[in-house]
Amino acid sequence: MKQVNRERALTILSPLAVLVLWQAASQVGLIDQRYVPAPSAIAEAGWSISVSGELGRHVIASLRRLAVGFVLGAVPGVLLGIVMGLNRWVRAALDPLVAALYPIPKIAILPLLMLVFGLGDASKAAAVAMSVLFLTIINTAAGVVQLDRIYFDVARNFGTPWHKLFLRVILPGILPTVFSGLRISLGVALVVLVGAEFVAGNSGIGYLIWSSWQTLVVENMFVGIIVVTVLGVLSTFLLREIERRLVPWRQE
Amino acid sequence: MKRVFPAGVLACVLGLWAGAASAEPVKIGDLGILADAPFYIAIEKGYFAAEKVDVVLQRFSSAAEATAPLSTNQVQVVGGGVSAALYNAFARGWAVRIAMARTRDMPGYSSDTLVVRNDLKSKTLTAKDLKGRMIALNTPASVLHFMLGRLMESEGLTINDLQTVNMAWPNMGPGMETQAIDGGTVVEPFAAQFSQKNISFPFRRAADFMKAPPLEVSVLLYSKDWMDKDPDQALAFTIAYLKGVRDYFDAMKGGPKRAQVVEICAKYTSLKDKAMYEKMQWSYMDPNAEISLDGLKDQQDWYARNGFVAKKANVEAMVDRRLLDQALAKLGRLDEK
Amino acid sequence: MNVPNIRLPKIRIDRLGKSFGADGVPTHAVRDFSLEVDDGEFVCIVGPSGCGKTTVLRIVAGLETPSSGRVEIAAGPAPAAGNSRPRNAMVFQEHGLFPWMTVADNVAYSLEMRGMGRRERHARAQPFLEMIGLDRFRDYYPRKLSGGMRQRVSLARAFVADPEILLMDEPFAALDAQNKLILQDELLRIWEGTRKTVLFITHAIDEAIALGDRIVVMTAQPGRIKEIVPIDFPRPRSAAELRADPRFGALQLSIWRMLEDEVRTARRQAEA
Repeated sequence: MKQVNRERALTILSPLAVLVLWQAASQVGLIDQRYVPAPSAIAEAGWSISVSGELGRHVIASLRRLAVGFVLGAVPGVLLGIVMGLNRWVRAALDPLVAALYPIPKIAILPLLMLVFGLGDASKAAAVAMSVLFLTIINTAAGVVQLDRIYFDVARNFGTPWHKLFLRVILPGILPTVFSGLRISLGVALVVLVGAEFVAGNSGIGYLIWSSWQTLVVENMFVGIIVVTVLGVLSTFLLREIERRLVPWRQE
Repeated sequence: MKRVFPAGVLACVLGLWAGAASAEPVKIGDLGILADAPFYIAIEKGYFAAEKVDVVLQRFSSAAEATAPLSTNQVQVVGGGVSAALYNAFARGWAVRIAMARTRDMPGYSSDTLVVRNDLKSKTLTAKDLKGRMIALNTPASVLHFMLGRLMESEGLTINDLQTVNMAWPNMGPGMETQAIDGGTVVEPFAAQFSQKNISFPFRRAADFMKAPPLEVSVLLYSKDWMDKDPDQALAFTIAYLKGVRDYFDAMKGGPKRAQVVEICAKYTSLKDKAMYEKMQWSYMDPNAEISLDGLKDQQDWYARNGFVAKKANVEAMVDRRLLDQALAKLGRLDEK
Repeated sequence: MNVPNIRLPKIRIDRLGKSFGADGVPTHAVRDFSLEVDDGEFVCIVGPSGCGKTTVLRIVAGLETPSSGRVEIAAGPAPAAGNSRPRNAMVFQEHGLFPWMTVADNVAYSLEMRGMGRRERHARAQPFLEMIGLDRFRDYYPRKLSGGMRQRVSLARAFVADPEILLMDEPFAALDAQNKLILQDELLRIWEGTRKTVLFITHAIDEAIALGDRIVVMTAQPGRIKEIVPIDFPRPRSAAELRADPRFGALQLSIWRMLEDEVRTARRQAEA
């Protein structure tokens, strides 16, 4: 078998093997099904809430908040990061602000966010946006600072006007770094979103996980956890695909 | 050396015997709310000590959180609200039992309240006026949720005629102030606090419309393993606890023990403002801790109908009142006057 | 000696000085550097590390300003209408190719910055791609190219800009000896066709002799001109064949003797 195919086979087989072991352990009683349901029970619960449309409703709500929050955080984050990276006065002025606000757990200030943005999508998207914003600013600024100065020399030497410097040198130059930052931000965004949906709401995967635990319908809770994992994998994959299109010069 | 040795052996034996009698301390999962008062009273007034029971308090944020450790006997006693979680836990085979009733709502002693924003007061006269409104719950499928459903059903509507959202009780105040929600289902002291701050008024109390059977709000849960392995300690605990309940009952009715009970509650619960105890309604505690099986079945049916309970539990099997009966035999019954 | 195209010196560097002040104690990178370069002349600059040769080049390029003295560049004949010819183009030590642009886009970059449309500028750049023999690689990213290929692209990029002056900062330093020879010949070949004025910095004395009309030998820091050596070999030259010339070796040794002390001084400065 070709090397690549062997690797692919392993990627699929290893989680399958874990599932099979888990199911077997549940059935012989090694794993207490009262607390950790068997994969078959989880699959059954997953099927039932998919068919009823309940799962779809929660997934769409979460995705909506994730997408809006991510974009709202990433775009200003990149722009601010570029400005901070290029201008040391702006950097000196904003650095302490970013350093102070970045470590605040966004879930902790969620009640505050709800006062301002209400109970619905907006407050959760805001929590996501804030997490993504700070991460993106820090990462993008670093990317700009680390951009080889030779590119600026070349650009100047060939008479590059300001706006072209931005579009044809700085932006593509930092794109690989920005995408690395976005990938990390996405992971954090998911965590923050799910946590925010624990705190207040009536929809979303986080709400599904939390309310299933509160009512001790443990199978549904596991379904929720699995769905979050799948969402994480899919969105990372999507991001990588976008990166592949936009950053073709960085092929691995 | 000759004198010390036998004395030492004696001390060891005595120690072992004493140890065997008292065993491990009993871990109580408490929530820091008023309904936990009998624990605190029994500690402060030495009822546990008199029965030779050591207790340790372990704080949890909700009954659901405490139910899992209870089922593995890491915690022996938890006072918990009736909820879908309770029935589901039992249906899953978790080793917990209802030992006795805890609180219920009776007229004048009805802590469970649906509060509505003050600015909607003139518009909200009956449950029908709530149609389409946004009501906050602190937990889904809990006794307050059941109460809300029953309220709507009393006027021919259902719970689905409302919009619900989950948020913690403290957040409901700001939620109503910013008009994000129209009302919320709360317990005391929140109902009184929100009234005092002019945020909301108590629209309906559970006892207003749930009379027969009255709303069974919470129960006392014991770990089944504990009851099986150490019945003597469990009985001793129950007796001491029941004494605490009776002191609460006296205080609840305005008896001579009220000031002392308020003192103890202010020390242990999160409600430190003693004046508030006079402004709010206390939950009703039956001094004989009688549990209503009908009430429990009724609640489970509602949860099942609304999709919160998948597989119904056998309610009779959930309750194990042997220890309660033994304790009542020893202490005698108290007249509810 | 090569016949210059115009009598006026193309580049006139007049007592150039550059110092960096750190905590009140200034460091003079370059001091009292004066040089005249004729139009179409190929001048090589050799000197020890830290002698300020790169600084001189950057000042001529306009990337840095002098602390004292000045640089004058004579304007070329009036450019054709609509064709803005830049004064100079640099070829850098590290190649400086934009990794996010293809070879074709890199080569055509100067034209893009002048506002030329896509099709036109790629058409303009095409002959230069063919000239360096990399037409086949026009849609490749620099990552896929070898060091030698990248430097050829860099050269093409500079030539496409059609500058009046070419400034080259050790462009072949990172290449192996074989590629160096090949690229030296390529540079000569391309340059012969256009005869632009060139300032070429290098550490390799043999390279300077092979390429230049004159060699400027600099002192250690603060950099000043120690000697200027004229190179009489006729053009067109072949870098490889020139090395067989009997005069080559003696010339190389004599220049090395001029440089040797400066190099030792620079080493002592560095270790201080």
